Amino acid sequence: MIFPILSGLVHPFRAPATWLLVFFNMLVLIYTSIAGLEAQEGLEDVMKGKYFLTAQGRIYAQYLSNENRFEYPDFLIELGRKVDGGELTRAEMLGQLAFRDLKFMNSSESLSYDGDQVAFRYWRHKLDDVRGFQEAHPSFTLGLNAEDPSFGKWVSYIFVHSGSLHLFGNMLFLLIFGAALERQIRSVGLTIVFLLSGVMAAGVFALMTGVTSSPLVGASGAVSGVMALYCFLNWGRPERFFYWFFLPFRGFMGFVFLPAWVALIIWGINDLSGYLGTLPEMGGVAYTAHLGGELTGLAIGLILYAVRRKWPLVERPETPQPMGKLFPFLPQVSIGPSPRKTNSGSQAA
Amino acid sequence: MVISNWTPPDLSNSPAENRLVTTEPELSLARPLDRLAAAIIDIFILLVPLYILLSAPLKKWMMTSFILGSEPDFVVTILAMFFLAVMILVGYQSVCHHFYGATIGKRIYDLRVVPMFPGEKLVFWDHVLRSAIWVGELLCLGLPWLAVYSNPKRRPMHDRLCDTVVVTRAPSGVRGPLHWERSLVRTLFAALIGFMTLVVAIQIRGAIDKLKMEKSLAALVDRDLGDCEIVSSSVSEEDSDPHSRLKVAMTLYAAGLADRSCLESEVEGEIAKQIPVAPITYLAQAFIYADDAEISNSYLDEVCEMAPETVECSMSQLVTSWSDEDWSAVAEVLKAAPKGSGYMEVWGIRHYMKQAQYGNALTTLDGLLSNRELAEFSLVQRVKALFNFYKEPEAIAAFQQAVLSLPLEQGSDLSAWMCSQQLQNSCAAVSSPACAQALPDKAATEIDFEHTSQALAHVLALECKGGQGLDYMSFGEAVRDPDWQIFFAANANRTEDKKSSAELFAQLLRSEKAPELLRVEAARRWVALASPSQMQEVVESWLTFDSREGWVKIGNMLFSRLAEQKNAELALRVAQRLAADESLSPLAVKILAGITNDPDAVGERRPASNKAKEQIKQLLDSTLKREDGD
Repeated sequence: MIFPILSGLVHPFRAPATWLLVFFNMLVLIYTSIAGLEAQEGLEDVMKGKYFLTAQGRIYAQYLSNENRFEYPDFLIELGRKVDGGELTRAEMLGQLAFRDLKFMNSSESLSYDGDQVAFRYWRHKLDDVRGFQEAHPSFTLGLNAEDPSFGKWVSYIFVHSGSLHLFGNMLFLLIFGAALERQIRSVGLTIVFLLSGVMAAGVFALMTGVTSSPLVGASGAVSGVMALYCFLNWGRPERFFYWFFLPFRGFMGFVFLPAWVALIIWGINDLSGYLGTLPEMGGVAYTAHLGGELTGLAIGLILYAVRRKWPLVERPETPQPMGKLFPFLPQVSIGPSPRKTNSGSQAA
Repeated sequence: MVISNWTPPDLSNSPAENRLVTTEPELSLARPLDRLAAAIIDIFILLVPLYILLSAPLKKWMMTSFILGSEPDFVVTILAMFFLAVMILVGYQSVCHHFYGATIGKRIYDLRVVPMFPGEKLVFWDHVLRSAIWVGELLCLGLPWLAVYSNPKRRPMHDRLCDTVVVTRAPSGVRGPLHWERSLVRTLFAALIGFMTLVVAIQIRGAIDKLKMEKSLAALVDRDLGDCEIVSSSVSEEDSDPHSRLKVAMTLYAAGLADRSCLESEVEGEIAKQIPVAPITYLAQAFIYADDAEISNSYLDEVCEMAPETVECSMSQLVTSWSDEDWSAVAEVLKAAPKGSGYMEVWGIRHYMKQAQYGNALTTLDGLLSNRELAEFSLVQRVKALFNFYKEPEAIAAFQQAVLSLPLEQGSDLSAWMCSQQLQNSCAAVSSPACAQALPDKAATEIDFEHTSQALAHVLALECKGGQGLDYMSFGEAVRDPDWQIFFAANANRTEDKKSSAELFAQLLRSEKAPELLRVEAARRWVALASPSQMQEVVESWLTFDSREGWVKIGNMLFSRLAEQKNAELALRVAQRLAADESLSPLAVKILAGITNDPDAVGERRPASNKAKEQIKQLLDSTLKREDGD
């Protein structure tokens, strides 16, 4: 494991915009969790309903066989054909995928079905319940989805998260990179970069993946932009990374100084791999939004570089950083130029 | 960090030396943990992200094939991803070692891979071989690398086979392994070999057990594929009805010979064959989703909407009435329903047996004689109906025929039931064919109390053989079932504390969770034990007994006992209730007919004639009116 520790834990007075964004996101999560509790439980009950999902899968399979094949990816058409042909073990999975097809979901009233009419009526009735839950769920009202792709959603989605783990991951990286970046481009600059990266991330997502009935939520596109801009502005400067090789031996844990672009490469490769390696129909992590945010951060960096040939670096304080105070026994290895002396002077890990 | 003009050290003449003296600064053997850390950096920090990127299209393909269930594609993608990983590892190590003497991870820790012998030059393919063997060691969970703690020059297999050694200039360099390091590795390998031998032995045994179960596994697989074996063996290939399999499955399910998963697989089979949905399909779905009332009721309603006046609609109405326990409505549906479906008749038989209408049950069973797939069900129900309808000779004949045809388990159950019923009437039944079948020579400790009929037959037989000398306390301590514990406790107190014994029997009679056979037996003993002043309580308990079959049996026992005690009022009230239900036993009729001195009085084990019944009814009515008038 290797993890960037840039400025350590920056005091809120030194990075007010970052901390405000973090707290605002936390408040939104608290609000959406409370407001959407009943709707969330209702949606989870529906998702657990095997009969409903199987019925939806069978109906969707028949719908796919009647629709224009070129509108849908091949594997979906093939899956529909298998379910239609009697492979009902896949009907539930197809039923899950059907939620992302807005055209299908909106056509439920006018749809005809040649099969189990009891299941068909049950499905229609439950779908009305699902719509009710979605209308009451903050992720759907504030997230970016095909039902309402207005511009307000392109900004509001940034502050909505699907759960505490999702929020924690995004806010951790916002604190690491946002606080460091804010000390370079000031609070207003950081806020602009954050919002602009988020909006552009949504744009790239809409272009490459497509907006569906499942909402896009999360600040990861915006955070990717912040991270990319920081790496661009500090391209060759050595930054501190914490490493751990999972074993309790000397030299298997410590700090290492690597150029800032290493973080961008690791993050970029991860997102690119995710984009190339996952089926967009399955949902999950919106890698295209991450890539969009990173590209936006890099673009902003290029613009700033073009406008000002040299960007002054805010001097780091001489007092030891909190991470250094917490782990004084850990060796620090430098690869390339090091900004300060190592603790022990040793080259060995 | 590049070491220029560097000549390999001479290690051949000094195997015990830990310091390698050359014209260059001192070199020593690389520390094993440094080699491990270098490998971790190479793999996890450098190669894994690269691999994830390059294998992304394969991962997508793998996901697609998994969703579509395409096994060949799935296996191909797995193999391709594995091959890619091996290529990346071998390629990276080979190129780095050949051109730079070290990978990036090794360079960070100042390690070098050098030829073992002076003057030897390694070609590119030597490094490829070294890397390939290294990958092979990795696939063995890295265990061969433990040779760094046993080999004098700390050279695992990949170093020994390719004549290389990993050295360092860093002060962290080490000597050859110490004695304790070598011992530890050897002990570890010995323990590992022992563990693997044990695992292999367990796996072989498991495989042998699996082979023995092959037949039942195949049946399960068949069922999973929508081909219920019991239905397949019952359906005629000439039957052109597309729903014939489903109809047979419904009949077998009603008879308890097929389970819900069989129904489900037949319905899925119809969908797979794209057979149009019919009322029978909805009916089957109602049973499949019986646990969800909303869905099940929707299917039942749809059956009659789609096809009123059909047998399927009648079945739907029957199910609804049965769920509401509206037995008169069930009877109406059965009377009006079209015949010939199979499952309707089976449900009818189940209803008649439950309501103790054995005559109707026998008539319906006669209509199922031609259904061979229902033989198991029909034989058992016929024996029980005949016996409960006081046709014991016919029941015994049917039993002897049934036992020859039934599978072992069902035959044992039927024998045990028959034996326990006969023993309740008389201990002479110990030598009957049913008891001979049901009671093999078994010690009392081997009685299986999970099967109530078998356990009851055993206990009754022991009582018949041993008289009153049975050690009920020991039985009560040995048995785990709480109902049987109460039964034995009640019997233990029968002679010394009749009152508490009666209370325990009453408790068992009123317990709705206890098996019905045991409750009826408890009632029989309570009736025998109760004093005349306690009979009112017994009658009250009998009146609210939930099972019809048990109610009839207990009621007739009660009437006989009340007649013995000459408790005319209670006896006649009980008789009136039984007569209104047409459930008087021949013995009860005989007793009542004796009061009327009627020459048409019947024997104890034959049904009453209509004339006798009419006379008894008049007797009861007039007697009770006279008493009311008084």
